[in-house]
This record gives sequence, structure tokens and C-alpha cells, in this order.
Amino acid sequence: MGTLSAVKESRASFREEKSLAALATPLVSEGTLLYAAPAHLEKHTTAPTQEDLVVDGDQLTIRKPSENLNRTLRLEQQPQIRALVESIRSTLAGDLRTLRRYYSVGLDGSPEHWRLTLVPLDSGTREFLKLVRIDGSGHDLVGVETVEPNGDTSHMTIRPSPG
Amino acid sequence: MRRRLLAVFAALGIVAAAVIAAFAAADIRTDMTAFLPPGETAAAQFLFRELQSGTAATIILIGIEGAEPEALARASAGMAGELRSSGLFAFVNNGDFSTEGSGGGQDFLFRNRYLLSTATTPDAFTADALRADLRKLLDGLTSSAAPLVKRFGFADPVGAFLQVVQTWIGSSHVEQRFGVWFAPEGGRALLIARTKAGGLDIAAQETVTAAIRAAFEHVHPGPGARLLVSGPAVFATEAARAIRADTHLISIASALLLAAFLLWQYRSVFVVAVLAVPLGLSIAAAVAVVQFAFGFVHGITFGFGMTMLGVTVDYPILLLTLRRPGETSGEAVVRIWPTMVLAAASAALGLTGMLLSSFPGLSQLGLFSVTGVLVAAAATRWVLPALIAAAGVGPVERHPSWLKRAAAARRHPAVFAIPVALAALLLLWRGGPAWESDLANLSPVPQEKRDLDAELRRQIGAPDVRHLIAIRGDDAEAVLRRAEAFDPVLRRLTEQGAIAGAEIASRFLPSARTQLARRAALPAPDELRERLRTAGEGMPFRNNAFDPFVADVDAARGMAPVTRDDVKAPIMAARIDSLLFERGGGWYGLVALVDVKDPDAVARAVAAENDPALTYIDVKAETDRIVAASTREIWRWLAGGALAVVVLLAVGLRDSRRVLRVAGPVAGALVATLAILSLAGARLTLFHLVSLLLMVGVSIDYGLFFNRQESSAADAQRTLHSIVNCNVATLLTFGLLALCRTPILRSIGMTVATGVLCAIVLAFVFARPRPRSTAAGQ
Repeated sequence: MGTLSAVKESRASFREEKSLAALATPLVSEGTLLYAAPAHLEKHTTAPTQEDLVVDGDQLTIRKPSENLNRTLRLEQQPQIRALVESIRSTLAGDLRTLRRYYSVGLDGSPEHWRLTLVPLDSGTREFLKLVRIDGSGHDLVGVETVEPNGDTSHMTIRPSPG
Repeated sequence: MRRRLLAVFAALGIVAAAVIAAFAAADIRTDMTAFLPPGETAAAQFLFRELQSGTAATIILIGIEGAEPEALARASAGMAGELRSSGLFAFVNNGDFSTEGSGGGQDFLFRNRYLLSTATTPDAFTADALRADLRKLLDGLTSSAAPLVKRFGFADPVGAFLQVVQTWIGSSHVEQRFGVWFAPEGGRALLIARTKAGGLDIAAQETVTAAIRAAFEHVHPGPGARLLVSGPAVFATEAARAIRADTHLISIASALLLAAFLLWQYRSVFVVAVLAVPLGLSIAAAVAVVQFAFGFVHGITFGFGMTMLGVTVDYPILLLTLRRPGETSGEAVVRIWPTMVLAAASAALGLTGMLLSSFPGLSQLGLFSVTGVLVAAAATRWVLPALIAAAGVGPVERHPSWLKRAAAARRHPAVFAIPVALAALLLLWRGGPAWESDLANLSPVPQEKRDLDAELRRQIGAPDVRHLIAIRGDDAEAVLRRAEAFDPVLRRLTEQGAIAGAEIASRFLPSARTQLARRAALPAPDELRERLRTAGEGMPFRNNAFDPFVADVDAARGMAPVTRDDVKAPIMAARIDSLLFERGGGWYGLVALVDVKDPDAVARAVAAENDPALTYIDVKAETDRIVAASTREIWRWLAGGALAVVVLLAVGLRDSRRVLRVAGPVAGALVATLAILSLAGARLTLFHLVSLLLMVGVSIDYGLFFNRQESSAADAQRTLHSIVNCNVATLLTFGLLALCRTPILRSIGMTVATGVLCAIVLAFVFARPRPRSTAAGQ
């Protein structure tokens, strides 16, 4: 985690595959990620539909031009969304303390190929999130997998961009 | 001596007991509605009452500002929680429509979504429509909002639930930030609450206001944070508090000033005790008579009644000052009684106009004044002389020297006629005095607070309290059906911009007929499954993906229509109850209009329906009409009263020139007062008129006494001295009223004070005391 906290800003592209129990085939989306230490995170989906998700401090903004959507939430009021956000943000920030507030944290592998397994502590969160697996290499995240209690999964592959 | 003093104090004690008993028995009210006239038509009366004391009057608007939006949102949530658990409110809404925030209402709406939602139409369940819904669902599932979309997407792909929730949250332009309502600029968190207590229940509303302030202190979002509270009930409470504070202040201050003045003039402690007897008697009688006639005494009548001291004290002052050296008080009262009785009768006659007014407040004031004047005069005649003798108060021996010089002014009365003529010209040139028809300006609540109320109301999308449409029906279903038929008109008015929006019961609780029609539009499970299969072709949904949807639609096909009694969540029940209720055997639906920009368009739209079940009321226009009618009426009574007074004077004085010398200066003082008020920029209200009546009653005394037969220069001195003392007493009491916060009391004070000052000067300079033939004697 110490190596991660040294990162001040990072950019990456992602590809996300969601496999839902109700769907026969996975849903795929692509876009870019931006992280700026310690608490700023952006997820820009470019395909199939444009969507911008910005987390800054306690505030989450979601914009979806196709639906004229522009909403702001306070994470403190949405503990379940907060837990999801922290799984990525606190990992990127190397903030183990915050992570442990929401999850029981397990770490395996080597510095070159590490895997973080997060199991939600809060029962409300456990109703829709079974666990989060984060794969990393050095100070880069390469994959985030979420598993829901009904078996729905989402797998995000991350490819760091230079600069 | 000792025994006689004892008698004075015994009398005083009896009078004090009478005053205390009268006030204890009186039901003193401070709400303005008790003071104002009811509407003219039955419908107007009903709506007027409904607006003043019904649900609209129990709405409280709350704003929190002066901190970061996040802190404000936290404060909003904290306050809403505390106020909800206080038990004082039917509902507290801050925009948080989560299940907790709505008191379980969200689950209720979800269960009944297919009967309640306008999204339930036969078209919505065709394969084509479902196909569009499924596409949107798929898009949502791909997005980051997937966890939220999943929550209702498979159980309600047609979006019936979201539509219902949207209706409840409101189409208002309130911004949602951090889960709560914010004003558009984002600097002010907004809450709306409805009290359980009636809007005019002042004591209960004071508790409510205190609870809101306490809740704010507990969540205080920062040093610069401010709490804004507004609404009809808040105004009523503030007005009541202002009137109460004013009347307390006035009664104490005017009594003290008057006592000090009397002590200085008559150099006897006992004189105050002696004078208190007729004053006390007149006030006790006036309070008792008003209470008996009306069943309550209004705070304004009461405050005003205290200033009656300034009028009724004239009679005892006249007796004390006019008494010649060596004359007993009994002899003196017999001597001046003919003039005094004429004075009291004219004053009472002049005030009778008020008494007969259809304006309950004015009527009270009139009855109060007439009773006070008559009782004070009678007490002066039959009680006071014995008390004066008992207390050993002697006649006034010395008169200020300037009074002697004042007589010089009588040599050139024309000099004083000039300003009156100028005043008359000014009034003519300005087209008469300016009139105030807006009753709101009589409220002691300052304009800035009323502006704030309008602003909060607009921001939160709370209904206007000024404009209203009522729908009448034999039962709730009839009202709801009529409301449904009328709703398109409201939507059209909203589109045209005549109104910013409307709340109507049928949007929250559709009629049973509509709900049954929706139920009939729901397809059977097999049919729905088949249509979903067709709709989902080419999309990756599995066959069982929409099982929750099919099951819920099937359940809805067996449900009975939702009625008012099924709505249990307090926030929702309160909302429906304010829009649909039973009164006196009939059912009423109120259409609350938001931010009415074009009242004429609304009035025309309602008129075009040509349905007696629908009534549009513009409360302000209605009030203005009532006030205008009352004002016309008062003018008639004023003219009639003036005529009656002139006739009375003619009969009493039997000399047309003396009638002119008595009545002329009063008329001149009226003109001068109107001109001065006009120059001061005052807009005349009913209450100015009343004050003018009162001023006329007081100033007739002046003319009558100045024009009496005087047998010596010393008598003339005494007359002038007594009238000056009367005048000062009136100024001391009415002058104080001019300092009140309550506009009504203030306008009465200013008018009377100005009027009596003009009257004394004019009455004096135009008076020609008749030299008395030595033979006549009394």
C-alpha cells in the first residue's frame, strides 16, 4: 500500500464487462479513468453511451448528456455508494485505514502481482455487494472485479496510460 | 378626613375590582381575522375561512442559509428529523423522499404503483412500448448507475413507480442537492412543514416556532448560519405578539403619563385616585358590554380602549377645572352639566356610525367608545362630586399666565382660516385623500418579512395563499372525478405561464373510476410474458428476467382502488387532506396554485368551465372588495353621524350661529388633519376614518365649552385652562399610540393627535363666549 500512496496522479483506460443473472450475454462499456491524490476520481465512459462520473471529496456527480442527467450526491448520505467508491479510491490512495472502515481486507501475491480482496462489513452494503477483488502490479491497478450476492459480476480491466 | 379618604379608597377598590372582573371575564383575542369582515358570498366566506384558518394557514416555510451547502444539507436533515419526532407537525418535508424520509410512503407507492401512476395506460404495455423501456433499462444497466437501475428496473421497466414518486416529490423547480431541497442559487436549504395545531391557535403556534428555533440551534451549521421561518401562522403569531407588546406598553405608559400630568396640574395625590374612578368605571363597562355583545374583545379594541382614558378623562377634568373658588363640586357639576351632556351626547352620536358598521372590529371599537363616553359622563355627574368632596380636592386657583395672552388670538380669526383654506385647496388639488385598500399593509408584520415569505414560497414551490380554486362535490369520488377533468386546464395554464404549477388532489389520489380503468389496462400474466419476449428480441434479457414485473402487474389486477384511508404515511396523508376534505356534509377539493402570474387567465379558465362546482377566488381581490364596501359604508355612517350631531347641536343650542361656531372649527380641523396626513404621505384606511370620528367626538367638547355663557373673565380663564388640560390628556394618550408598531394603532394615534391639536386652536379662535346677563344664574 505504501507504494500506492506515492502516486499523485494517474490516468488509465478501462473496459468493463458486466455479467448479470437476468442477461444471457455480458454488457460491455469502455472509457477512461483519472485519479488525483488524495480524493479525486473520474470515470468517463465513452462507449456505448457517454457518461461522466466525478467523485471529489464527499461529493459525487453523475452526468449523462443523452438523458439530460446531472446529479450530485453526498457520499456520507449514501453509505453503500460510498463503500463502492472507497474500494477504488482508498486503494489508489493507499489509505488502508479508510478501506478497513468499510471492508475486511485480505492481501495476497507479490508486489508485482498483488490481489486485494474486500468483503463489506456493513450488512446493508452486503445486500448488494458480496465482495470486491482488486488486482494490481506495482503501483498500478490492472483489474477490479465486483461480485453481487445474486451472482451478478462486473469485471473491469484497466490499462495505464502513459503520463 | 380619615373616614372620607377611606370612602375614596373603598370606591377605588370597588372600581378596581370591577375592572379586574371585566378583564377576567373578557375573552381577549389577537388574531386579525376576528377583526376583519367575512366574505360577501357563501362561497367566498367558506374559502376565506379556509385560507385563514384551514390547512393553508398551517404551512410553515423554513430556510437555512449562511453556510456551505453540505453543512446546510446536514442541518436540513437534522432539523427535519428533530421536528418530525417532536409530534407538533403533521409533516416535515425537506426533499428527502427515501423510505425513512417519507415514513414508509415509498413502499406504499411502490405496491400501488400501477393503480396510482399515469404511466399505466393500455399503450404502455404494448410490445413496442415495452421494447423502448427495455432498451432504456439495458442502457441503465451498462452505466455506473446500474446498482440503482437494478433496484426497480426488473420489477418496473415501464417506470410507473418513478412517475408516482416524481408526482409526490413535486414538479417544482426545487433543486435537489445532497439529498435535500435547495433554493436555485444553492445557498439556502428549504423545508416545508405543516403544524397539527390550527394556524390561528396563537399559543400552540408559539410553541411550534420555539421548537423550530430550538431544532436549528441543535444542528447549527456554523457561525454565519441563519434560520428563516415564514408562513401565515408565523405572521399571526408575530402580529399577536406585536399587538400584545403595544397594548401593554400603551396602557402602562399612558396611565403613568396621565397620572403625572394630573398630579402636576391639581397638586393632589388624591386627585389621581378620584379620577381613576370614572375612568375605571367607563373601561370596565366598555369591556363588559363588548364582551357581552360580541363574545370576545379584540386586542386592538383593548389597546384602543386604554386610550379611551384620554377621551373619558375630559369630563372629570372639566369638572375639576371649571369649579369656581368657593363652589362645591356638586354645585359645579350641576352648572356645567347641560353643556357636558350635550358634549357627551354628540360624541356618542358621532361614534354610533362605527357601532353600526358591518366590520366586526369597527363595530367593537364603536361600542367600546360609546359605552366609555356615556359611562364616564354619567360617573362624572353622579359619582365624582362626592368623591372630590371626600378627598378634599379644592378648585384650581391658579391658571398659567400665557392663557390670558392667548385671548389675543381671537382678534384675528381670519389668520387661522387661511391655513384651513390652504389645506382644503391642497386636498382638492390632490383629488382628495389617498386611500389604502390593501389590508396587508395594516398587518404589523413588516414588508420585508412578507417579501421573504413570497420568495420562500416561490423557491419551494409552495402554493400561493392568495389564489385558490375550489371544487365541490357530494362525495370524495365526485370531487376527484371533477378534478381529473379539470387537470388538463391547469396543465394548459402552466404551459402558458399563467401559473408556475398547481397541486390538485387527483394527481396524488386518482378517482376510483380512473384506478379501475388503469387496472383494466393491465395485461394477464401470460399475455404480458409473451409481449416482453417479443419486446426483448435481440436483447440479452433472459426469459425469467422480468418475473417480478409480471408478478406485480398480476397482483395489481386483483387490487381494490386506493382510497384516502389506505394512505397511512403522515407526510402523504397530510398532503391529501389539505387538498381534499369534508366540511359540513359536502366534499371539497382545493386546487393550490403556485406563483400565479396571470390571475385573469385563471379566472377566465374557471369561468369557461361554466360549472357551479368550481369556484375561483382571489383572496386579495375579495378582501379589497370587502374593505371598499366597508369604507363606503363608513362614509355613509360618517356623514349620517355628522348630520345627527349638527341636528343635536341645533336642538341643544337653539342658535344657528353657535352651532356654526361649534361645528365649524371641527370641520376645519377635519380638513386640516386630512391635509396633514396627505402631506405626510399616509394612505387612509378605515382606521383613519374611525380616528376622525373619535377626534370629532373629542373636539366638539372644545367648541361647546368655549362658546358657553361666561359670567366673568375668571370663568373664561377656567374654561380655557380646562380645555387645554383635556387636550393635553388626549395628546398624552393618543400621541403614544403613534409610537406603536401595529399600523392600526399607529394610524389612530397620529390622526387623533393631529386632529385634536388643530381642533383646539380653531375652536378657541372662532369661539365667542356669550356675555351672561346678570339675571340668569346657576
